[in-house]
Amino acid sequence: MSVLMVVGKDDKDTANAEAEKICPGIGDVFQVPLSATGKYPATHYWMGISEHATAVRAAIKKLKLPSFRSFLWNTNKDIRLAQKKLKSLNLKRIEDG
Amino acid sequence: MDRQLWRRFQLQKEAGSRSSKFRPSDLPSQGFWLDAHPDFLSTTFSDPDYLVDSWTDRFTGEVFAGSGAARPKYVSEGINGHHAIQFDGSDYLEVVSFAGADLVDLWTIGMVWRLPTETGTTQFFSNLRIGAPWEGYRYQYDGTGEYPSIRKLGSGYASYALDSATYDDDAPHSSIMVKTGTTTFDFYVDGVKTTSGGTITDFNTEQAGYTVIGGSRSTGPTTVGTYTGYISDIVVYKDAKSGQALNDLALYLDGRALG
Repeated sequence: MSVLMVVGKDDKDTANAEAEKICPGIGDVFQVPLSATGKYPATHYWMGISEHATAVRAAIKKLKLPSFRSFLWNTNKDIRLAQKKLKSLNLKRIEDG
Repeated sequence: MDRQLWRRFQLQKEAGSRSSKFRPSDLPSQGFWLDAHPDFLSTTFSDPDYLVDSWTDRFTGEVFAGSGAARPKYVSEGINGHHAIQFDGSDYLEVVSFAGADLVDLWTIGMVWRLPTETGTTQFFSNLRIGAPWEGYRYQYDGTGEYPSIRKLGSGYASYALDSATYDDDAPHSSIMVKTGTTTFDFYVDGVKTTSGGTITDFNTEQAGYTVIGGSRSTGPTTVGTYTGYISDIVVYKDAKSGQALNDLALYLDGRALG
């Protein structure tokens, strides 16, 4: 089971640091830029992760970051879940080219 | 089975045993070949998924690593019951460089893929300049026009695309793009040559050697995943295939798509 996670730009570094504590070497979890318009500046970042997904999710949840959202995600059943959830949050992937 | 799929099976059957012996490695001017078969992947099991830690280029044997949280998954039955790599829209694989990676001259790129319905614009892979300025090319599925296309970045954006058709139908497809001249291209989908349109001027971009499979780089530059779907093969050559070589490649890739 994967987890789809979204965080606001002001909480991004804190959330990434927490993920690294739980899963050393995982790199930046929140790295795909988002905004309501699909243009820069980014207001949020997202990522779908599988490795230690529930542990990373639980640890970041404990931080009680106001912008943090997460959803369990069975990618084999619905690979489009991220697109649908981001749309429901009024967020679009930023495409700069 | 729909009519189109039946026709593709018939073409495979008519091709006979000769094409079944063909392998992309039989052709010269090799760039790289990503094959989702587990013999060419190294994975970590993260219940219930297999994350792709690295993949081995079937042409050169060179190993390329995955990237932390952005690793895609190996799926044993991702494309018509056969091996594939699943990208969730935030996953990617990087090829920092390969011989002739800038793809500034003639080239041939073949792919086998499956996209979920209404997938939007999504990049199969990108080939970008390593340093500033930010420019290069994206080989993508155009969610507006609903076709595979090439998109030039940097000094303005231009695309070169197939005629209007919908391929994000959650069915397996193969496609080949051939750069036949400075600004000319041929496109094939499911083994059949397809009408092309659009223009890209000044296609040559020196040093566009940073390849991201399933993703792209933003102006940062930050590498990000952008592909939502399945890929079983990407094969790149540093020349423009034609004639029997192109026919063999097209039949081989479509055979992979059909399983």
